[in-house]
Amino acid sequence: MKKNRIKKNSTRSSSSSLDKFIRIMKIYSVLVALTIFKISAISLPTYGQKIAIDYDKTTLKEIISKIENQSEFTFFYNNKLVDENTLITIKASSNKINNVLDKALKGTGISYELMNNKVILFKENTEQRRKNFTFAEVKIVESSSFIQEKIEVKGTVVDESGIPIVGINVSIKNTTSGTLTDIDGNFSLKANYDDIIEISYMGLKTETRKVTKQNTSFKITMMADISALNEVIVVAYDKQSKSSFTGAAVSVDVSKIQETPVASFQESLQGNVAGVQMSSASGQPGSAQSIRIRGVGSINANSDPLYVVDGIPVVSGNISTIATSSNTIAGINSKDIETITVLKDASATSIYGSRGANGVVLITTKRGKSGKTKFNFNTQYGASEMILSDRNKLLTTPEHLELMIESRINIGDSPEIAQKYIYDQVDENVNTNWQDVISRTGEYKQYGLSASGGSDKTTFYSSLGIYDQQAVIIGVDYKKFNAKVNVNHKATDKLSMNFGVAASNQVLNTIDEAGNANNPVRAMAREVPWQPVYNADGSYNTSILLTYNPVGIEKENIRKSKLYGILGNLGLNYEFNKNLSFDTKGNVDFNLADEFQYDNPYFGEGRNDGGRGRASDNIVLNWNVTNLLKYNLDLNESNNLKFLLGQEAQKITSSSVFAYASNYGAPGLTSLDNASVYRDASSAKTASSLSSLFFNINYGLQNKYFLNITGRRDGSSRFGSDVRYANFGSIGAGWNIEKETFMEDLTFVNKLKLRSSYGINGNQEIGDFASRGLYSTGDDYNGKPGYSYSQQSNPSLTWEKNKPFNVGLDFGLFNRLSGTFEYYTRTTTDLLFKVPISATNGITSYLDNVGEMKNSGIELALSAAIFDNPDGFSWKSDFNITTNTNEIIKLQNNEPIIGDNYIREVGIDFYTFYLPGYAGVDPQNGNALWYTNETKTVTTSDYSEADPYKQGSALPKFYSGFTNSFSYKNVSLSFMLFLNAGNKVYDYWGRYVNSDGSAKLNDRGNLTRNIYENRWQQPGDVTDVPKMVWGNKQSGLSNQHSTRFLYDGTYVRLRDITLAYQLPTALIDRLKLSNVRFYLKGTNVLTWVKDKDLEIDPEVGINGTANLRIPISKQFLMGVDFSF
Amino acid sequence: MILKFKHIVILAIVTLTASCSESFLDINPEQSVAAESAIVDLVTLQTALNGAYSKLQSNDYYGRTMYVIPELMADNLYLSSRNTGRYLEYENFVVSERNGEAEGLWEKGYQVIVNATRAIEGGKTLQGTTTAQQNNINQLIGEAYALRALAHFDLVRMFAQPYNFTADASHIGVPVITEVNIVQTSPKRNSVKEVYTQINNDLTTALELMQTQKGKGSFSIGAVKGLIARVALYQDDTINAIKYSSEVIATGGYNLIANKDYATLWSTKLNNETLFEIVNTIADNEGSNSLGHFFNVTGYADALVPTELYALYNSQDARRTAITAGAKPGAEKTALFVNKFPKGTLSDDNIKILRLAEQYLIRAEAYAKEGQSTLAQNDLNVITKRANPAALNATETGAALLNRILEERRKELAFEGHRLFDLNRNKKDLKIIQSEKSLMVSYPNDKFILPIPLKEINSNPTIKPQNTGY
Repeated sequence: MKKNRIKKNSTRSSSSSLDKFIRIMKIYSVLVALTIFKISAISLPTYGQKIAIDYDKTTLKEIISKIENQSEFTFFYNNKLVDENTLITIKASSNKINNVLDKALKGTGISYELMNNKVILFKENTEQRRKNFTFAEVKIVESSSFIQEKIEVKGTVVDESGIPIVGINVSIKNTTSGTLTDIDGNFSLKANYDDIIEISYMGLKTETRKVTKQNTSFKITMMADISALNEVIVVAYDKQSKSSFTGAAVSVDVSKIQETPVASFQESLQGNVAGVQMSSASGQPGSAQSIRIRGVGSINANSDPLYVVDGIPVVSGNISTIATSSNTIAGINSKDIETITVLKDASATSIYGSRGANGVVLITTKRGKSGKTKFNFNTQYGASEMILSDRNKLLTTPEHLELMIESRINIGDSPEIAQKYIYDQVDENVNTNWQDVISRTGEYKQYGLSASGGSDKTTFYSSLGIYDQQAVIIGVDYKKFNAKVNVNHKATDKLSMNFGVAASNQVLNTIDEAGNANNPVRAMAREVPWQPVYNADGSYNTSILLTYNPVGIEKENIRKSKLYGILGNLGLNYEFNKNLSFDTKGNVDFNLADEFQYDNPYFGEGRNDGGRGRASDNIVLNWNVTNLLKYNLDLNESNNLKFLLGQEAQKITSSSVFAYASNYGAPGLTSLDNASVYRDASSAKTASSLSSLFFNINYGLQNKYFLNITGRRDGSSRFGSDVRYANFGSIGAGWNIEKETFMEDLTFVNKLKLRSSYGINGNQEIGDFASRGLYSTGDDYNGKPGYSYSQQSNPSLTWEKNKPFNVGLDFGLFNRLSGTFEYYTRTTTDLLFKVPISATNGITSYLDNVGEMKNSGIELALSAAIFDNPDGFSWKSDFNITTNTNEIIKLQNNEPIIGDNYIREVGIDFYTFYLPGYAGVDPQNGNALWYTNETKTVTTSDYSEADPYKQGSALPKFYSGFTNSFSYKNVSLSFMLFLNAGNKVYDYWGRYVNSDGSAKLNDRGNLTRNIYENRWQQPGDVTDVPKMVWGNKQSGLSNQHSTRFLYDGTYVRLRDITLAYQLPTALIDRLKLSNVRFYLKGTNVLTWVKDKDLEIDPEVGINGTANLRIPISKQFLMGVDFSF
Repeated sequence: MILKFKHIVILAIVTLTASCSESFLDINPEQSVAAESAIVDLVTLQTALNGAYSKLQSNDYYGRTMYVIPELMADNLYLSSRNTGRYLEYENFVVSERNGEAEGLWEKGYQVIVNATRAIEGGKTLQGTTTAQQNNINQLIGEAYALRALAHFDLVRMFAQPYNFTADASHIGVPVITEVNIVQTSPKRNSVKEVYTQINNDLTTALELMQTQKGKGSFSIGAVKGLIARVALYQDDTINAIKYSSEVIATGGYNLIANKDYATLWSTKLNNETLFEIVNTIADNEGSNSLGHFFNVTGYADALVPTELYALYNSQDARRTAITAGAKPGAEKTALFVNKFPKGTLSDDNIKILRLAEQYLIRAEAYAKEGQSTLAQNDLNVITKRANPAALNATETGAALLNRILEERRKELAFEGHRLFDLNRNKKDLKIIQSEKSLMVSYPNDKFILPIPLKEINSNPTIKPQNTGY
């Protein structure tokens, strides 16, 4: 803690004093955001309350504590000026605080002043003040004795939103001179030139200013100090001081996220949060992101975390049918986010019961603050480009034909005949660079406007946002519109309410992925350079790619998805008394995907039936009701108990409508009305429900030892009635070691906390009717309805159980370095697993609870202020690293499961590749060789002789983020490096672009630059690229999966670099603004890839398999932020 | 106010807790039916049976694979040098146990068997209130037996060596499934003989139950007899082959389409030559995965007709119109396209499974094997003269006659999924015509049959051994 700070008296902050502490913050309009819940817990000062004290030679400190306990008053004093150990003898009983204080302080040389329900203590002889104090005229003057020749320094202190802060300590560094700000946030004191004035307050970052001839008047904006020791974090159903929290949770630095040019905040979690793995599978803006918290926890059930927005579990992920991927979470405007907390261990997540197994991401949105209405405007503009290294540039026509001729020669043609044969079939004058045709420079624009403010009773926050992004592939773009209102209202002293509405509209133009002919990314990899985009007459060249000319497809077809999201919530809070409160919260989370696809009648998918039109609507409605009863029981100063009892009900219903027609008449008219043949119409409905009861008990002993117990009982409609209910729970403990007496001498230790938890939570994400034996409709025949056996029943199908164990150590040293170290394991039992069964059952798998899987690893997060000079150079560094080891412990009969080039086997990790091993090329004849088996002793040139074997995992051994922020005066530079190490990446479609001549002149297989540069050409050539053979049947066939296309996925990426300039305060004041900031930002600017043979971008998604998706791009942008 | 609010709170808790009663958690699917209540009456039996028929439409079964593989892995089709990669392993004769087309066929075949078995068992529990209703139920159960037999037959001829591969057909076949399983089963392979026994039992039972003489897009007495005749031929059971094909020809009520109307044989759905065909409607077809799309020049046009086959037809032969000449865009300047699916990329051609012309050829082959050359020649003449009224009468006898019949089968039934089996069951060598060359492979050969899919072996190790050679 900073010395020389006005410090609230505290008996080592018991729970009751924590309450008071928070109340103080309210009074000073500080940290409102972190105390939303507590705001409503405030009672007005009880001036008539009787205070009775009777003490003999007791320290001032203790007496203050007693008075605080009996009343609503809170004391402030500078413990350098006021000796809190002054011994006082007093007997007083009065309902007037001044009577009590007058008696208590008599003869101590300490004076006081009342301000609202605060008592500020002064050293009497340094004090000159008016005797008849009134609330309306609060004016606190400097507390230090002053010398006439000093000059007068003035200033105003405001918070982040520009609201004046009262009661802030302003002092001259290395002296005892100081003062407090008044109710308008103003201060004035006498100082010498070159004095440093220091402005500090608990929970806020300390600011310093130098007094110079030019600078004697200051406007100082205080920022919340998130690393403050008494940090309050958002936890499940509540907020909690971090020192009393026993779980593993990370509060994400939202400022790192809000300026990032990505559609959903999820993408920004990469590298910023230890224990969270994020790997974008697609560069499609607005696509669903795979987030894995502490590893992959499930095989067939969903492994995505639960997302909770303002206390509401929301629908996450993809709800579209036509778009390749969409993301309801991207509908959240990241500018509206106040806090993001990632909950990782049992203590933090088990209160979410059957939904907590994969971790929980809690989001709170911004709330208004009373006072002057504050506006904020921000805008960004940028451009993006495909990341493509030179070694992967496409072949030109001459290069490609050189290979084709060589392939003919290798089957016995003479060079002349080979050339003639090839040139007869190919127009070598055409040289199309399909990368140039299909990729483009993407444009990015973003605008945001927000207003917040309010009165004592009612506050509001409102915002509008527009986000517009083009991907680097033609035809792919994304727009998002957001509107949001949050209103808090205090109806009575005890009843407060809040409501919020967030509406979003996302518009996506998407493309197909993987091997689909509609996919331009596929075309980019496959199309041969001698094919033109357009015919000589200007029409599309549709003799390529089965007529799917990618440019024509982009121009003439429609594939548009509109997502609408409305999240509305109403919450009531009733405070029975200061210890007992009741919360009720209801919400509607409405999601609609309205989609349309049109395929033109001339080429591509609609060519054979006169054009096709498809319309699809899908509505997902999620409603949720939560009731919470909270009770604080402070047995005495050192025994504090907090109880939470809750009830929750959730129902998610979805319904969809689909219509499909073909044979369009009028060109340009694309709605289904213009089609003459009705092909299909269908509608579908499904629902699931969850009903729960839960409790939490948090016990604190002497503010040093904490115990947390959680329990939850969930019932889910997804499981058979025999196993419908299940119990979950956790136990956690925390020990604030730095508060022990034996630590007192170790003053360099600011914080040392050991905590641990163990518990059980569950995963119910298996589909709505997974336990039933079913016949599914849709197998119509001859115009009559038909259904068929589709699912084997399993009435005992139940939750996956996840058992996380965590040990964590939080530390802070030398006021400069802080960090967290965690060791975790989580064991998933009763794994929901699609057990593959013999096809003779009429189905090929059924869902069962078999198997066990374990994830374990360590997480280390460090944060250091290397240089900290607000007037000069500052350097702050954040580093985190996560390791994760995934191990399958048990499977059905412990038999390995093989599929999709992975093997799932006991003792190895979940994403272990299982492929034949590629053994390079026979130097004698240029044939491709494979190992016959994993002994790698025998090679074969016959692919069918090569048995697959284990080839390493798609899961990284560790990943790490390293952020550095430098600032000098008004300029700041920060960059973030992301490292992903030790995994394998498989290029699923590499077989097609490494076709070794098997595809002849077809555009179904292409040739890479690697082939051009490294192929075997003559006996003795040592290479791993086989010879070119026309119609090759030895290598280059599309079924030849092997490690030839498996790469080391290690990479380092300069994920983010930002250069920012903040307008100087003097100028901002003159412009009557509160903040102006300009910045330049680049994302994914540089990528270093370990495997130089890698033909694709290494970031391909969690499963490590590239699937011809839109590549990740690099982006550059500039942005401006205005606040006024 | 406080009191009032307390009441609201209590009320809220009570209502919400009440809403979370057991019924709150009881949600039933709206697009699916519980398996145990899938077949409860005549209507649902029909619905379940439709589901089984629908599986035949799949491109993994009669919708494409069952037609393409036996022709491509022989001399009736080859893949264009510019193709989409489908069935490439078959043309190249390098099929692997990971082959997706074999896997799809295996799965679809057993889907038909399982759904048919469930229809049979479900149907048996039904009791018709009237004789007419019971007859309807029996007819549907009979169709289910026939479907089960058909799928077993297709699987055994694709995944096992022909019946006559060993003297007593004791060589390894495919699993026979005749029971509804509550929990999953991991069966072993039955012998070929056992499979054929089950096929014949099912077909006999079907005949006993069936009421409908001629079907439209579903199994009928005529179609079942036609299938029995074919199965008998595959077993070298000439007696039954003759018996049942004769019944179909004589009393089935079917007629060969006249020469002048030959085109309508393919363009008219459910014409009078059809014993059984799969109905495809505009709303219910395989789209770009259909046969029409696979063959048509405006579709993939992956598989082309070898000139060798085309040359076999006399210029007057009506069947030559089932092949059209043209250019394959971006590849073969002259190419021959299959035209037995005239709707082409519209994809709603029906897929013929049994037609009368084949019955004549079955009987001709059976007679020839019995040594009754004249009878065989007569049947053969019916087919050749339908195609070309000016055709000369067959005069061959003995082995020459049998070869002539096989050639006529090749010409008559081209692209209908017979060629590989016809050669294989007659122990003939194979000429696999490829786009630039051809491959001669002699009988017997491990790779004339498909591998048991690796996926099946992985999920059901008791199915081992894999077919030799894979």
